[in-house]
Amino acid sequence: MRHRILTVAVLSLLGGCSMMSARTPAPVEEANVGKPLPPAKPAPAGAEEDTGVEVYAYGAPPVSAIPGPPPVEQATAPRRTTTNRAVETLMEEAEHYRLSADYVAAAASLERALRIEPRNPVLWNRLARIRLEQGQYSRASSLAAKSNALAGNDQELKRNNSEIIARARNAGAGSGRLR
Amino acid sequence: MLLVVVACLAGGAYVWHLDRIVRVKFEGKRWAIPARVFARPLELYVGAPLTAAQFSAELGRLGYRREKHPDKPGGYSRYKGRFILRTRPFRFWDSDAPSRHLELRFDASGVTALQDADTGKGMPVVRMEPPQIGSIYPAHHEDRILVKRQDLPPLLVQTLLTVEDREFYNHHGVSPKAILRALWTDLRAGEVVQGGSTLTQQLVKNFYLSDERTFTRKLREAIMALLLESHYGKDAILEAYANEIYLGQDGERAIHGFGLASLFYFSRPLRELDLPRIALLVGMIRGPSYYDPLRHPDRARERRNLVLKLLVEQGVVTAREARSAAARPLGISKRRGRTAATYRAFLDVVRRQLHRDYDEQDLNSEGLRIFTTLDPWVQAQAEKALAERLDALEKGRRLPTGKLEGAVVVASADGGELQAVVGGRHSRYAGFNRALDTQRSVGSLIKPVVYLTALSRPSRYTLLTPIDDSPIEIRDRRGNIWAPENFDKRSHGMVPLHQALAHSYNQATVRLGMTLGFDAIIDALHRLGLKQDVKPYPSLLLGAVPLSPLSVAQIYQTLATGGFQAPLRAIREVTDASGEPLSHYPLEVKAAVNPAATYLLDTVLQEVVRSGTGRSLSRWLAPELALAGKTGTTDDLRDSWFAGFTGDRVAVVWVGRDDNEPAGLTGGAGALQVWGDMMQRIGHLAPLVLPVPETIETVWIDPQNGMKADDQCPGAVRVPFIRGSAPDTLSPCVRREDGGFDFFRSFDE
Repeated sequence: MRHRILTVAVLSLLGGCSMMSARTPAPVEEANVGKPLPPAKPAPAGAEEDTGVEVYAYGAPPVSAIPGPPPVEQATAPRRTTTNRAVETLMEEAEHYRLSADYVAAAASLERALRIEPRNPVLWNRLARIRLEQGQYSRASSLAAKSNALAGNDQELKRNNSEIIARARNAGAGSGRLR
Repeated sequence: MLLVVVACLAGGAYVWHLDRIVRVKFEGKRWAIPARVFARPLELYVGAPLTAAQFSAELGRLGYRREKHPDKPGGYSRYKGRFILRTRPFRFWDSDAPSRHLELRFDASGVTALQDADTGKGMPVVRMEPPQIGSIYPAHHEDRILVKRQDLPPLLVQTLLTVEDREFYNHHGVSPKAILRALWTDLRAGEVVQGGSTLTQQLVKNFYLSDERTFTRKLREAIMALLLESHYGKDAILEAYANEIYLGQDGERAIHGFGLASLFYFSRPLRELDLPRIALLVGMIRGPSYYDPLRHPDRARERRNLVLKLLVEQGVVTAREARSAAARPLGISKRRGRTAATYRAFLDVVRRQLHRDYDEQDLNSEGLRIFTTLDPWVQAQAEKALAERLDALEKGRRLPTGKLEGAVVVASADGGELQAVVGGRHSRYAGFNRALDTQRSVGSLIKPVVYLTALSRPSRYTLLTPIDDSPIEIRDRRGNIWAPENFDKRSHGMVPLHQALAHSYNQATVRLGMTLGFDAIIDALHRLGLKQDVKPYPSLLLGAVPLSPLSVAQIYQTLATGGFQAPLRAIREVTDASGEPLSHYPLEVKAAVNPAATYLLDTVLQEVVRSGTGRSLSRWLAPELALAGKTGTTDDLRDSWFAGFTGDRVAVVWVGRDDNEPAGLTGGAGALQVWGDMMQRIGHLAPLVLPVPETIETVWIDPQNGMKADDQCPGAVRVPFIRGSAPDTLSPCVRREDGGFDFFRSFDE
């Protein structure tokens, strides 16, 4: 601290004396501050709407007075083995996260698995289940429908998807009434 | 006396003023840190459809060093199809990936082994760090990646101090000895030629002051350097210096700080730099453009070796180490500067998507990390295919040279993740992004929408419904007559619906469309994912609707997945500078159009490639892939389109001229060739297997009359129908047999 006061004092003197010979100091140019930003939307008007790209920001599950449906029990969730060990591992990882209610991480693992096997109906079913438990009913329903479309003859999986769709409809209607 | 007191008071006020400037800026947010944009991370697992060449290219993008015995992260060794590598740790938005010591094996089919190189234990799945593909920086174009003091390699610090400021840890911001020496030089020269600046002064100059060389500025610099030192420790000042220092130019982008410079010049993080690279980097401080190792390699080498000599003199390294370092090449990455330009068209999409959720200022100043869906391999193949095909087309068809342009969009089919966006033939140059911003008539690419609308009415239309392909005249409100012709200028009479589409007959399509009504077709277009308004003119039926390739890709994405739309997206996640997730753009799907009708339509789009207007695709791709697609050509051959899908990708190619003059190419002759070449280069294609909806039944049909047949009928074919829409009437070929009631046959039905 003493060093600092001393420095400032010495500098003050120095500054004062130098003032006498120096020209008026130019204003300090603070580099890169206050320069205009690039135009936010370089695209011609209307082009953005035409990109066909949609964004859904990730949000917390909608707050609702009615709690979401209880987690679907493991026993009722269809299990179908995949021949791919990576997918199997990611499914196990997702299930582990789901059971500890870390739905975001669970969905992330399932999305990774879906990039590897995009037409595996069990993965779509599991993702639907996560969304249902998160209270994202319309997402859950669409994902279950997608799983159904890929399920072929897997009746058990189809039944489970129908159950998710029905639960999502009921829960969605319930929270809709409240609003 | 009074004068002296007033002057000293004024001087004091001035110093306080400077003191405030010093503190406010140093303690505030020092720099606007651009957002860093990453490609998709590569997933490694046994069975991954990845070749050794592709993996090697990815390691190149990540700046991995090829070594005999990789012992640090970022190193690998390779013997043919066998790789040993140490991955770098990476913080993903959802979890931390540690550094791993891996062994990988490849054959032509993909990854055949993935295991821990220490234990030999198999690993199910490993996510590599993603390569950076760009940054979003503010108007002044300063780009930098912040580095903390403790992450500065000790050798870098020693080299920096040796070259720029040996007394750094002993002075208070200015070094009187150095100043006197500089002053003497300057006086002799009559102007300011030498700095004699400490690191602190250099920082003050770069950080707070302009570039002018006057004695007042010099004095202000000295005062501020002393003030800076009085407030902050040496390490804080060193850290600021390491991040502020200007080290080169990449087009309009200014490279600041050692962190970014290391990636920019050497494609590897700072902590992985060796002695020769550190010496070069520090040597460049004096004049980043004068010593630019790419433009002036000899100067750069000389400068680096001078730095090495200084290091020996000061005892930082041994003479032997310096000799061996001086014998090394400059080590500049071939990829230098590529990221900024290469992915421009894709980054356009990223930027537009981000602008919906983030302010420009957050994007270019908060150091956000943006994780995208770009697949650099697919992107590179798309660029090459477009550039090479257009060259070949111009040569082979004697078209004017350099006039053709094009655009490509590739997305994952089920997830709607954009893997590649090519905005033009010369993808490395800035310019018009045709994938997004060009709106060109889509021609026959619209026809599947017309036929989907028809097939959604199964009581009226099946794949076999006869459609009249004879001349047709349509009179508009003003009395003008529109009489569309077929491409071959002939009419084909009554043709089954699937054939009318597979061969892209105009007259049949217009007649069908007029019966269905514009509203139904426009409604289908919107449900397929089109966002813009479409005018209900008859010419709409033949594709007189201008769309961007990206919009077309969305429509075909919905068709490629049985009617389940996944909104096309370029971003997966955004995190803040420390890796905390800010937003995640989840996988979304919705049932957009009738799945059974889409299934029927998709079988016809397969027929297009098998035997219709897209059959020349067999030049590039095996028929067993059963790919689906549609060609599009507009009046006078102005636009050449092809949109199609494999089992896991959807892609759209447009070829035409910017001045909208005739390009001289049909969809099949132009865009389709680019599409085929690109898909062949991408490789490891998934065959298209259409999942059959429950409401679909397959029935034997006698092609002679379109009536119901059985497997015994000569030439009978299996045709899918939406349940209840198949013909009831039995073809004579069924009854022609022994006349008795055939149980087995009726069971078969």
